[in-house]
Amino acid sequence: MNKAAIITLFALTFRLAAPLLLTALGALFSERSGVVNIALEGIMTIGAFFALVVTYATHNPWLGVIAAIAAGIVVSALHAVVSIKFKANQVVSGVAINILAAGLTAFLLNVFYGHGGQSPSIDLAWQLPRWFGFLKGIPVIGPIIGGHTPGVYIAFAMVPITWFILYKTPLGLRIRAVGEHPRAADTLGVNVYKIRYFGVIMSGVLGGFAGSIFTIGEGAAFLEGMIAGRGFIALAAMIFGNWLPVRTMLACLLFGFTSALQLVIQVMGITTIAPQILTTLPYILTILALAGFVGRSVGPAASGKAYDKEGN
Amino acid sequence: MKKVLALITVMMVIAVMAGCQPEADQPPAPELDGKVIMITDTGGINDRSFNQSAWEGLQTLEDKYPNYEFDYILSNTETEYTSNIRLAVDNGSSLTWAVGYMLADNMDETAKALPDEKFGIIDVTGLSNPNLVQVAFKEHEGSFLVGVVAGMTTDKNKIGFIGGKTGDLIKKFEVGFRAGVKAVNPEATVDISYTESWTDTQIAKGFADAMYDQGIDIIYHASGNCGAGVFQSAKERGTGPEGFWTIGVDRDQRDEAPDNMLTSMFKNVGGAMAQVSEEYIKDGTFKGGEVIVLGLKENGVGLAPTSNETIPEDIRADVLAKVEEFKNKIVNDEIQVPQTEEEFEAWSIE
Repeated sequence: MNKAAIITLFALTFRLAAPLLLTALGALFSERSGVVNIALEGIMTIGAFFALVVTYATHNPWLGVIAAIAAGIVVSALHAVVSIKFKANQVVSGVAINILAAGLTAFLLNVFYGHGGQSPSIDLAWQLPRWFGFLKGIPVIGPIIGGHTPGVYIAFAMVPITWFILYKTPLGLRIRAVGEHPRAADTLGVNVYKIRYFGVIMSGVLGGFAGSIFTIGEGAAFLEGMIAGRGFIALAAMIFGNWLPVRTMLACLLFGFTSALQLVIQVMGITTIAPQILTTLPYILTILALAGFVGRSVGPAASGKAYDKEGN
Repeated sequence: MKKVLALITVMMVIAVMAGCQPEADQPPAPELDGKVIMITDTGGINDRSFNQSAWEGLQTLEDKYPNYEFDYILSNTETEYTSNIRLAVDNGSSLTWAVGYMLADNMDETAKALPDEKFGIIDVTGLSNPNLVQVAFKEHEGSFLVGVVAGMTTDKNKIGFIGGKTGDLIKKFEVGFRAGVKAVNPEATVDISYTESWTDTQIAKGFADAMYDQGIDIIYHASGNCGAGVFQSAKERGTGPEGFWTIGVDRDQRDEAPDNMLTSMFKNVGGAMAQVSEEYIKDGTFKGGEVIVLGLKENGVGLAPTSNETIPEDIRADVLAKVEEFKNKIVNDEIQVPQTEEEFEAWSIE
């Protein structure tokens, strides 16, 4: 591997990891408050779509980001209402939202642009800016860390922020308490429902923003299926990260790295290891982690269980 | 609550009925000899790809055969495929086309259920129904020609290929392309990568970034919608003459990256649809059960028409002459373009 390949490898690792990380941190808030969120794929899809629609109309990517976040909030709020207020099965709700998101964006493509499959492209000038481009002058490290879309830097900045909220603020204490033992939290006067709404909606904010990276950050159009399972990969990364912010970041970096590595070795024509093996590696590790072979993944005790204030 | 549900149900039923009977109030159509109706896939009629090309092909017959009616039905979702094929038959379609392999299962099912109706499908070869004609293309031949263009245009003798999912179909594109490059520029290397997706534009962009970073100056993609990622990578870096060329696939993709597109491997879906439909309209010839494979000879594949504007001017005449030369050799069976890795290993240009 030459120097250019190594730079590509690590620069791509950050780029591929960033949307996963944002979404996984969102999932962390949701799951830590006790709501399983497998609607992440749908949230990202909707975020990606509305980011493009608004940017295409206004030529302002930051309005697109706001639209993506707003759309993410709406979709996650739907999941929250169904899961928290109506106490429906959280997995079923998540699956339904994923299907809804795929169908709705396909439908709206037809409504807005008269044809399905693919939206029109935005101009390069309307894309999100590249940040820290001046760092590119530094040898080797510069092109790896400089000149990415804002989402990359915001994703990694969110790791200490998430850690701080969860472990150093009263809100974080409540989120964790509600996720572990909602009854106990309730008896101490914590509003379980409110905390859970907050957790789920945070996953909408971060997931929606992550979606915008695909259509107005690195890409310039919305295509059906472009999220390509990343919502589920983010969920796997969070589980592999044992529901902890820093470990989740490391898991996302690992997932990003294996994708980037399989990509670079294909381009370099290295055939000693099959690229397919590398791409499946993160999932094998996640399964092993869940089964308790690699580390031990234990989720919040009350995650996935609806809380009924009146009931038993 | 119950009332609301009942209301919603009634509204949905009305909506469905309204959707099914769009022409109920129209006066009866004049006496016709028949109808040819095509069903789009979810790409829609203005997809600047398959569906649009197919419809443009059918429209060329409109003036020639005024007694015939040509129409299309849009599929907004994948769940509508089967019902739309049946809707076409109910509307009196004498030859019903499904555009694209996405409709293969639905077409198979419907053709079996309605053995007396006549059907056609594009880009599918694996079905066998006596009332279904399948049309496919020799993509390796078209890819060979864009390979010739790439081999003659590259400055750095480094060329890339990005495929979608690994499989026999995309292998034809890859091997044909490599053979074309080899035929005119044996020095040039072709790096091969597969995204293992048709839609993952972020990964596709990553592949293109990695290739351009390695000094590759031309990338041919056969990766469906992933191509958007490849074009994006090229556009962000610069223009074609600066060393960031792309080659499109299936249709003329010049619009997607006007400053970067060297050429496109063009599949003449419309021409094929028109040709097969016309045979049927003219004298009732219907090649049900057959697979019609169209190559360079039949004008089924080739360079995109705008190639005579996109190829750099200083070499344009030479490149197009060479393309023409190879095209004739392929048409005259002087060259057999390889389709598989084994055939490529054994292949050489005499």
